[in-house]
Amino acid sequence: MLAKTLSGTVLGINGQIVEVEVDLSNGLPSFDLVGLADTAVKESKERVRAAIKNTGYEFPIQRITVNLAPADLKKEGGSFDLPIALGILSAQGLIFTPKLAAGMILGELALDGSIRPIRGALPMVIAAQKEGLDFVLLPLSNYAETRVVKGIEIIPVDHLRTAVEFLVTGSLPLIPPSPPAQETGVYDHDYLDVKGQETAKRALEIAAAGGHNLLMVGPPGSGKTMLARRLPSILPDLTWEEAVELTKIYSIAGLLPPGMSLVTKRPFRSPHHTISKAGMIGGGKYPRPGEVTLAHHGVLFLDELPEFPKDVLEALRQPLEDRVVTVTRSMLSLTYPAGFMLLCSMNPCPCGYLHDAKQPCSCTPRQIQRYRSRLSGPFLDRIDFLIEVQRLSEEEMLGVKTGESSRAIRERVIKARKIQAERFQGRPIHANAQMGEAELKLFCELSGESRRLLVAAIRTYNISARGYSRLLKVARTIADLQGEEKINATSLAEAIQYKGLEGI
Amino acid sequence: MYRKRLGDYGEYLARTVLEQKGYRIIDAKYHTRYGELDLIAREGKHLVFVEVKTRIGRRFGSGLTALTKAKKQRLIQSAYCYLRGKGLSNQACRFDLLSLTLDRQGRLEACDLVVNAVEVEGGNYY
Repeated sequence: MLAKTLSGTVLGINGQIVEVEVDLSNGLPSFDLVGLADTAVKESKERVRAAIKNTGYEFPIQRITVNLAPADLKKEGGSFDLPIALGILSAQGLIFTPKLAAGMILGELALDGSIRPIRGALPMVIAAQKEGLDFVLLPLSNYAETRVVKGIEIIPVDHLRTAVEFLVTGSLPLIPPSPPAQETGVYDHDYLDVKGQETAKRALEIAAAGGHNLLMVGPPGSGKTMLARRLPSILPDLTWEEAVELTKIYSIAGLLPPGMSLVTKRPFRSPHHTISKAGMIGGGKYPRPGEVTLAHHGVLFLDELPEFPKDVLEALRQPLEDRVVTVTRSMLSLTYPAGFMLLCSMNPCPCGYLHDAKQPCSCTPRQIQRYRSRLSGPFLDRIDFLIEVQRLSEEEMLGVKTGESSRAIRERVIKARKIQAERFQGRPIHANAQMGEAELKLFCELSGESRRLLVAAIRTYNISARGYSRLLKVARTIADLQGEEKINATSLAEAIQYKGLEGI
Repeated sequence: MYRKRLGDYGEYLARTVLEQKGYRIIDAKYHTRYGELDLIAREGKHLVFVEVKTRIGRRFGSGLTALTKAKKQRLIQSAYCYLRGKGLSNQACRFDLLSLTLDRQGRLEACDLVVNAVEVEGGNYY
């Protein structure tokens, strides 16, 4: 007897439908699983056997062959347990239902027959909806994240028995839990808590407005991390499409908190500097999204930049340029989105106190040079500007004066972003930082006074060609924040005062 | 010859035990090039190959633990020989393991029957 049903697996950040065929025949008893299954899928044999037995059904003493099609696609994860179990029951004639082949079935089985959550439920449900399937049967714990998909019936189940109940009777076995509390776009950290550091805050505002990559240099304890942590709170709210895309990524990574239906906060990823290349970029034998993908539409913060391994930093160059990252393995190549803002921090020297007003630096020039040479030119090239963060003075530290709230800063950022969105309509870019030569020529025209200022700056500071285009991009963003159509001298002057990377 | 006698005695006991459980014995001590099938019986729709393990005392553990991977492999190959020899290609089959424990006087102390004790791994390629 033959039974067929559908399930799914994840390819990159998209779901892929997998057909599950179960055949029972006479002969010596065996249980074989074919179709490029990885270890976790292979082991599903034992889980299925125990779950069927412990739910009170009979496990057939027959020759069982399970095929997962398409045959050339590697399958991973535990989501095939439930379709295999239901296929075996149906092939045995224990349950009879035409429904089995009409919907997607996902779920990992526990030995007692209860159903465990899976990774990547959202992309698979989206794939099922696109394919026009009737329903998706999935673990109760994955229900919340898939609620955003419309146009397909989603049936949450928590046990093999309830899954069978739905297939046979067609009635909803569990009342879907009421919509969970939406995570609002409120961030835990606010710039209100940051005393002083007005220059740094202004620089972060510019970076947020134009999507610029930024490096903060300062002595230990000056508040670099504190400033960085608050960056997402001044970024504009996620759009619906961005939120769905992010939820897909977090669903695949298995990082969605239970009960959460949609990621509504921009991510802030701060990997430790011992991170490996695969952890940063994504990959592994069965590719998983890395930090650059988890920081998509958000901020990737690299604290203590020179401590990161050189190969990890060099690997960042391509995603910074292309905003996607392609992981290639012998069998397949996957593309993950990686559109993040890069924010880095470092000490000016190994001891940390170079240029500090009070504490003398104890490093030799040689040490300083070696410390900085860990950062390669091509990598630093992708950082638009640098700011120095100074330690607070006594008055600032003891003072009660608080800073501007994140909400107020965000208002300005949103306005500047709106201007950019209009400007770049019909182009593949959406922020000033992504401008190429053509756009620079078109949108960053200088005239009169500002032109003379630029000529003077190039002479005085010995600005390179690349430094020049970076300067223009930053000036463009400052002008957008001011709401000016053309870059005037004031905006340009402010841009000039943010040091380029020649500064360190 | 002690071990052979013990085995024969065990097989005699096994027949009784199995027949009580509703098995119909159709063959015994079937020799193939890979080894011997102790008992072959019919039970319901299944053709059952029964491996009998007889032990005196529990000093060497139960007979249930005595089925090693190599022995399983031999059983499977022998079963294929049997099925081919009898021309039974589409027959529902299974392997049962019957473990008999005797006391010093040769009385049956315990008997454990494991239904479907052996499964073929990696496909039926023989």
